[in-house]
Amino acid sequence: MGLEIPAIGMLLLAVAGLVAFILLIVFILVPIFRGVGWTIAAIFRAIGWFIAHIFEFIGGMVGDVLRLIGAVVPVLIFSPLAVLNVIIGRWSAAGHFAESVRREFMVAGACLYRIVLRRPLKLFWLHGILEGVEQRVPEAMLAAPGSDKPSRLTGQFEGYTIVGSLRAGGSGGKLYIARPDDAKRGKLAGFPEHVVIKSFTLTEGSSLPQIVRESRALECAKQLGHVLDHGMDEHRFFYVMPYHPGDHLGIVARQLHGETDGRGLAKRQLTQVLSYTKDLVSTLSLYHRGGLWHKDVKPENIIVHDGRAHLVDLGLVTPLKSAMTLTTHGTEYFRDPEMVRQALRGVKVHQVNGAKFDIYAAGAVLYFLLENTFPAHGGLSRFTHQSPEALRWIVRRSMTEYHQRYETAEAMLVDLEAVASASDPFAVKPAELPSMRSGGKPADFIVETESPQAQHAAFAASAPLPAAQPVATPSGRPRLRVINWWTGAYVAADDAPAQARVHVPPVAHTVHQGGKRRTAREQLVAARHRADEMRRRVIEHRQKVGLERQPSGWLVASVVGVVIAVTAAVVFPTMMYRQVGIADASIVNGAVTAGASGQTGVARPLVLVMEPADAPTESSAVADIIRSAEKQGYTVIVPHTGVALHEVGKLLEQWRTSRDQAVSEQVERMLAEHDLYGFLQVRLTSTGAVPTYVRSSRPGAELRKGSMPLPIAPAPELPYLVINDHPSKSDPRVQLKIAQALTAYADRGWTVVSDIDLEGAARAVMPAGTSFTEFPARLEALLDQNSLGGLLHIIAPVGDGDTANRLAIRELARRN
Amino acid sequence: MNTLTTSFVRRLRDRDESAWFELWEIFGPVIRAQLAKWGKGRIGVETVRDLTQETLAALSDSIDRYDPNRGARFSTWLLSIAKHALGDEMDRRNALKRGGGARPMELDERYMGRASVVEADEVYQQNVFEAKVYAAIRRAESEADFVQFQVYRMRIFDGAPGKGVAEQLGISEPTVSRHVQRVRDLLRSRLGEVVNTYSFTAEEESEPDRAGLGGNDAMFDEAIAEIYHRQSRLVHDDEAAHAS
Repeated sequence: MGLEIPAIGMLLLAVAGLVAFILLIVFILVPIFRGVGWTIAAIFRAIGWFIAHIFEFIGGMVGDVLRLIGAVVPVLIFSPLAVLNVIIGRWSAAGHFAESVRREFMVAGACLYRIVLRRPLKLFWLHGILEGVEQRVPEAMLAAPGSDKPSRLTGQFEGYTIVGSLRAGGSGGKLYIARPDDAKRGKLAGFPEHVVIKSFTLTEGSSLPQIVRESRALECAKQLGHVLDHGMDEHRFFYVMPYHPGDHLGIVARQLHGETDGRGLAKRQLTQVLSYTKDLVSTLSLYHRGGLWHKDVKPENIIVHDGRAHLVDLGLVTPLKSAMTLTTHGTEYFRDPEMVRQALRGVKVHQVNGAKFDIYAAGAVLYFLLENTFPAHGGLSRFTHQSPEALRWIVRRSMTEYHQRYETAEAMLVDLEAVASASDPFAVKPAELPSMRSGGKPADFIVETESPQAQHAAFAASAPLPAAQPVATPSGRPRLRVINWWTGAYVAADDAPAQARVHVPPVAHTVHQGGKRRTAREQLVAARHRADEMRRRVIEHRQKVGLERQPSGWLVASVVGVVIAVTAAVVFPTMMYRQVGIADASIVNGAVTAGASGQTGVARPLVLVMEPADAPTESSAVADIIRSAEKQGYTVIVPHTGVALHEVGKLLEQWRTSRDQAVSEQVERMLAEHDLYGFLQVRLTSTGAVPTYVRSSRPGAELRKGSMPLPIAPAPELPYLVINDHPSKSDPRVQLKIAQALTAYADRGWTVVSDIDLEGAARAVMPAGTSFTEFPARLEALLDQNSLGGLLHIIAPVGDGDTANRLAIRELARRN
Repeated sequence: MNTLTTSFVRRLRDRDESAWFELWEIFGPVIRAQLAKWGKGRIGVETVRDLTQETLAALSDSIDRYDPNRGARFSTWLLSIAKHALGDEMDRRNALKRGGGARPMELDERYMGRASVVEADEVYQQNVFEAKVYAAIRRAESEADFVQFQVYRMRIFDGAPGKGVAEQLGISEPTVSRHVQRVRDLLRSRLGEVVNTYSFTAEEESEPDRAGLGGNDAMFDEAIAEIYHRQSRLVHDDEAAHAS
């Protein structure tokens, strides 16, 4: 026993030692070795990186030296050539070679700069020294103003003395700083001491479209006091604006951030930022109340002068109610991507609320001020510097999705005021912002106007705030009468007759009643009334021509249908051939069936055309095709083979390929006069396959290529709304074709509605593109509310050549 | 190809400009990053931007000739077109330099044949996938209620505690959780749509699962926040390069 206890004790000791050894390895030695390994790896990585750095230097130097030599050799070649061409008087060639020499010198100079300065400094990580030369110098050179005097050709500006110039922007105009004379000052009280004249001269590179664009909103801008004067002659157009000397907000933001420790703005800088943003939003509010939107709000267009921010550059200012198509103009990062999407969809300016795009830009400017960088991700942009949570909220609210952002600039201003008035902006929570308390609606507020001029205040007070127009419910286009084509000034003509755009008997439709816009409910009632009216007229028409189904007269209708179809199949083709100068045609297969759908009561006669023209029509494949077509409501007329068919085939081929207007008209006339639906073109191939086409100008037929004829759909009970997305919709040829096609629809018993209000509303909620087939729920609801059965979507199918020659109408029925 | 992809391809075939803009928004930064990497030191930022436009325009134009039976991934196909666009640019420059000795290479259907040999490195594949996730976040942002999405952003992307978010927005913590859940569900749904739209192969469609986006809520949030931050940096670096 005495020996057993020490043995057990030894055993336990050994086990404990083993455990301690394992723990030592796991918790001490392994981390130590890992750390040593990491250190060794880091050392090797650093050595590798250093060697790579050296090799990059050597490789770069060698490359640059070779490029330098490569540039010197062409100089040696081109220089004598340039001199030689000067001597022999070949000026163009001399200029060409001189330009080549200049380019090679540029290359050689850049190489030399890198060899002598940049690469050696970069080798020792000192290339930061060159930042000023490489970045700020070119910036300053680019920003240098142009000539201080207008050219002799255009002369001076009467009533103004030019005292300087500013760097021209991207609008194509030249900017001069001028001093108005006493006579000018006397004309308008409050005329500033210095003004900016923006001048467009046709002989100095400006174009007429630029001038028209700039002049579009001139009258409104004058009323707002942003334009003081304007003038034009046969060479030149110019307008005069107040001059605000100072730096733009981009420079100011850089300075503000330069004063901090790099982590974000302190309270003093934040106060300034808030003040500038409030100035900006107040100005935008003034614009919006005046019926305009700026469209190019960005730091470079905001000048800080006398401690206030002034919004300048009226190049893209647009009336909110403009009937023009929305364009993608603007500046990236400060331009709402939704605006680009809407512009690509071809919506009109009045169908969107342009003020909301300005609000987006104002949010982007605030982000820029807080972060000293642009918002690369729109509403998803991250904040990396410290800033009050409430201000971040304002930025996000103004840059969020179109429907959810601030409704008006005033609402944004109220939130800004709340942060600005707090003793500690950082302590303000988003929950305390007025927009969070009132659901985004502006509370009572006072708008600070940028200028104390009485006319501004009067205008702002008198101008009604444009009603918020979300994309989903765009307003109707007002009837406008242009009173000045140059300035674009117009007045709303409430009593102007509505334009009849409907191919069916138009129903007068006024957007305004008694100078007021009708409510949505009134518009819906009116739309339903119009649809009922049109349906009633069509039914009357169909009853008049004997096509309307009577409650117990389907048999009579069928008989009438058969008679008409027989007539069409037997008599009309003979007449047709006579018309096109083919006398020997006769019908071998005139079997007629009433329309399979039984809805219209009229068969659709097609003339069979074989390709090649002498291909047999008696084959079983062709017989199958004819049977299939007849089952689907067509009547197939098979003429004799030979000359007649050849001539028809030739005419058809001409019509199909060349789209020659004369041929097209001939075929159209032929089809229309004889009530023929079109041609059944059957092509025999060497493999025995028989592709079949229905060629017809009748509704929907253009889409039936490459497949068997489709059954003719019955005329729908409810009216269909026309959505015209044809890219050449303003082309008279296209308009004629559309009118013909829509008339054909009416002839088939359809009720077609063309209404600018409804079209705008539908566009706002329909999917993008020309190939969608399913309706989103909002579109379904809109159609349902207006008792519409679907859409007739007019498009240009994909193809080559002039889009005016391509037209298709998609019949899109709603699900329920 | 699934119906979503087919629908998108059809929009491209119909020359729908908004479909092109969608491509530009989603994959522009990735293509720019890849082109900048390939053309390092040889092409400038403006050229990279132009080439990206050319790549996406070529994609739209060549969609008619895309053959799904070849089994090329969407990302590889995109990369192949980008590579040809860059190759064309280099050839064009060489041709100009040599005075017309070599004609610029035409961009044609060769990209399809070469699709399998283009080396799409892991970083690129990851960038393409993350661009899809980012697009899903954008879609969710535009569809979700503003306050709900901000709650999700503050809670998941910014990593703020639920209590802090509730205090900032004046709502209760359970409301914060509900908002987060709702946005998460929407994100999952939109992620499925976006990935399916821009995926040509089954392997591409299964990428979210491999990236941890198919797992439980915590894993999903963590993965999506990580991708959001990475993609934000990529886009920002790209835009900063352009702006400078």
